Amino acid sequence: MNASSNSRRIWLHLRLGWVWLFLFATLGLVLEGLHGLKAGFYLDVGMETRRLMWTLGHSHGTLIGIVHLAFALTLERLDRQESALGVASHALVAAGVLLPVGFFLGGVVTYGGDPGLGVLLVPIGAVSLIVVTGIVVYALKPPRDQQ
Amino acid sequence: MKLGTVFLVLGVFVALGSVLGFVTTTSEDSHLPRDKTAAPESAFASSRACRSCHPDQYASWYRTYHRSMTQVATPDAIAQAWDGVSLSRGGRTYHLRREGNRFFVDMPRMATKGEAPEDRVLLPVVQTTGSHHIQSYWMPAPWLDEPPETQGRDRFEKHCAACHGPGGQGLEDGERSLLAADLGTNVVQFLGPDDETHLEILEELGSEDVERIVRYVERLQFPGRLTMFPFTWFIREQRWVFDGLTYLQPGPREYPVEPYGNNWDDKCDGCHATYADYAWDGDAQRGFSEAVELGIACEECHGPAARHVARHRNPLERYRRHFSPNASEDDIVNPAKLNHELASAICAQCHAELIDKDPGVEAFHPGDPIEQYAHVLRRYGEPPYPDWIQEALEDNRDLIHDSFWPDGTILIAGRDYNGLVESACFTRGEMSCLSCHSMHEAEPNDQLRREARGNDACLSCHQELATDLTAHTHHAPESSGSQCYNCHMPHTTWGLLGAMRAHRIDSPSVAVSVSTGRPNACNLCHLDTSLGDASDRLTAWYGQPAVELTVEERDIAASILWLIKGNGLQRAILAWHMSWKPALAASGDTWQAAYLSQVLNDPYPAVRHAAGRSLHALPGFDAFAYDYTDASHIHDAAAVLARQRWLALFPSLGTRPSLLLTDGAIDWNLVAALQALRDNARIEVDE
Repeated sequence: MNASSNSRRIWLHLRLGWVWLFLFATLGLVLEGLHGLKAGFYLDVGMETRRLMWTLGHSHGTLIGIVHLAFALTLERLDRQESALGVASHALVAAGVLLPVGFFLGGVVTYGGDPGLGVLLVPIGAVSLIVVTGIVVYALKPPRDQQ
Repeated sequence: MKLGTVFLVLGVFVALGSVLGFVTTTSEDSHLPRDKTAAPESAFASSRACRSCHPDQYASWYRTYHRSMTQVATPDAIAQAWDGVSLSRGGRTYHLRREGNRFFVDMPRMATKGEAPEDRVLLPVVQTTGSHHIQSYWMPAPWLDEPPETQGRDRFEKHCAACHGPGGQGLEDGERSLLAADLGTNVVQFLGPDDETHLEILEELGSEDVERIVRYVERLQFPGRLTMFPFTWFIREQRWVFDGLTYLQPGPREYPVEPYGNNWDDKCDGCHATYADYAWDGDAQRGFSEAVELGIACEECHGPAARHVARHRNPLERYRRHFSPNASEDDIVNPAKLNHELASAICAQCHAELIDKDPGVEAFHPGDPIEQYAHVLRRYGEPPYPDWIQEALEDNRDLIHDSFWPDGTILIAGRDYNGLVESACFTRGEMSCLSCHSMHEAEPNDQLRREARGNDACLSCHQELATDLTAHTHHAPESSGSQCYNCHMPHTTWGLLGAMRAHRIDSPSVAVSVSTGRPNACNLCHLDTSLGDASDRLTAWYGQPAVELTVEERDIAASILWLIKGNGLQRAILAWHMSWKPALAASGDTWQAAYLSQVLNDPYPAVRHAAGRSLHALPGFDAFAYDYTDASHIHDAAAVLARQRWLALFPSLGTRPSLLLTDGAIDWNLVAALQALRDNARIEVDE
């Protein structure tokens, strides 16, 4: 990974981070609005699963936005450029979509205490996020000559 | 962070958790029924396991009074003031104490007045029963606060005779056969071999009866057995009442010691907790109570759920069910999918007057016919009962008399299944309890479905009446007289100090009222009309045969006759109706106080309570000083004062022969003559 691609990646994750924060902070406002309006499809007895799924979608989306920002800052501070970080970048973008969307879709149709099948996207997104964290931890390992 | 530090932090958390667990386990917990779900290979799962997959059903059930029927005695369960309250009865005083979240009763020891400090004992309140109308409290049996070390007759005198001796309901009081039929055994083992009186009694009994008595005595004596605190919190009126004053009976007997007749695992647990039972621990040589959970929870209606829960822990199995909802489900019962008889049987396990089948019969399982588990008690046309039940019924004729009107209609509130099975809607139609009631889709107050709150409940089958309701009811369509249940389900059952709707769905009949004394719907609403008036209308409107009536029945309002001349139940029902809003709308509200004054000193506490309640609802009497629990001489004075106040309030009501009113004056001589004919036959509604 060369310097220009690293720079582009930093800007990508900075943008995505702030866009995600914007989107999911807005979604948080929508969810608060549903509480304020006592929306039956969200608050009624029997809607616990939907409420949980959408709350998780909102919180994970917001969290992913912060992770995007942290990832961008991490890339900026790394003086080494490793190809694995490119994989991590793609994985983070995937996790950022799969986790909140999976939770949201899981709450659209529910079966009692079970979410809809959209929730199957969540474990894929979770694995992606774990891959990101693993790669970053590895990349932050000090070079042998500094150990 | 070093590995050692990680373990240290984890260790601190574990220790904290253990300490928290310890301090939240109180001594009262040891008295609570054991958790059946904790037993190895338990068939039960409890509502805790249902919640995660069925959150909406859990939430709707959680709101019901079934759920809170019995609860651990916590501040959430006991809403009223407790600490510092003192209650007295028969010279015995009870002080209620609260320490933090724990509740206690400082009370006299058995067979004492509790005047000396050594005669008092502090007992914890363990659990509560009731959260809607009345609330009762359970504490460890006070006769077990010391070990029964004596033997033989001394032991009997010390531990048994107070209740089961002369004056009590027991072995020496002519109720031997009832004990033999109902109870259990080793009196010899408990009393020791030298108690000749009881050995004589035992000799009269068969070996099977002796064995029952042995078992009964064994189960009486386990430490921590729960018995009911003798005072009840009357939620509706926000007051304490001596428990004996909450039933329809001539008046509580005054015992030499408190009548601790209600033991949790004797007869109460079965319908106030889920799959509650008494069990015998052979190793520990003691009995114990157990239950799936307190209150009426999921498995009471859906059956044991452990297999269902285990199978559905597998998400693939759950989603297979989600996408094939018609797949057969063999390990859980959905009452809504049962036929009307089996669905109603689920409610019948508690809401019916039943006699359990011989010992050894498995507990009722939802989805099975109720008859597989118990005999449904009937006055007429009963199934052939086994000999021991037949003998018990013959020995205890009051059971039938106190449970049914003479026409076979159940008179105890809450035993609605006995009424339902006598109804054509059930026997010829497909009406079930679930036709009107629902655990999950109804308001908790009476569990009535929204669509069953009005006439739709009946008109869904009787559609032909819907087009011209007035042609059938002969009342204005929006009036209370056109509400199906007011005519076909009048308030002729009694429970919880109130009249409640009969669930034997039938038509008003003066002939039935005359022959059985069961008040009919016409005269319970039109309180100012006679049986003759009602009979004439029923003949004209529905072609019912004219009924032969006495002059009194033809001329005097039936409500007055039942209130003044009737038996305890009739008087209570009529006193209650004298503040029933539809009845006041149809009959006026100015004259009832005169007649209610005549029963303010009734020997039945329930009649006095209903009379006082109705009187307070009538104009001019809302602040009238009257308490049905006062002494009889105060009631006598209140009766006079109420009559005087009525005279002052309504001096000119004119002439109304059916109300014995002539120029505003009641013929009190005639009222006294009717009162002299009052039916004083004992009746005791065993709720």
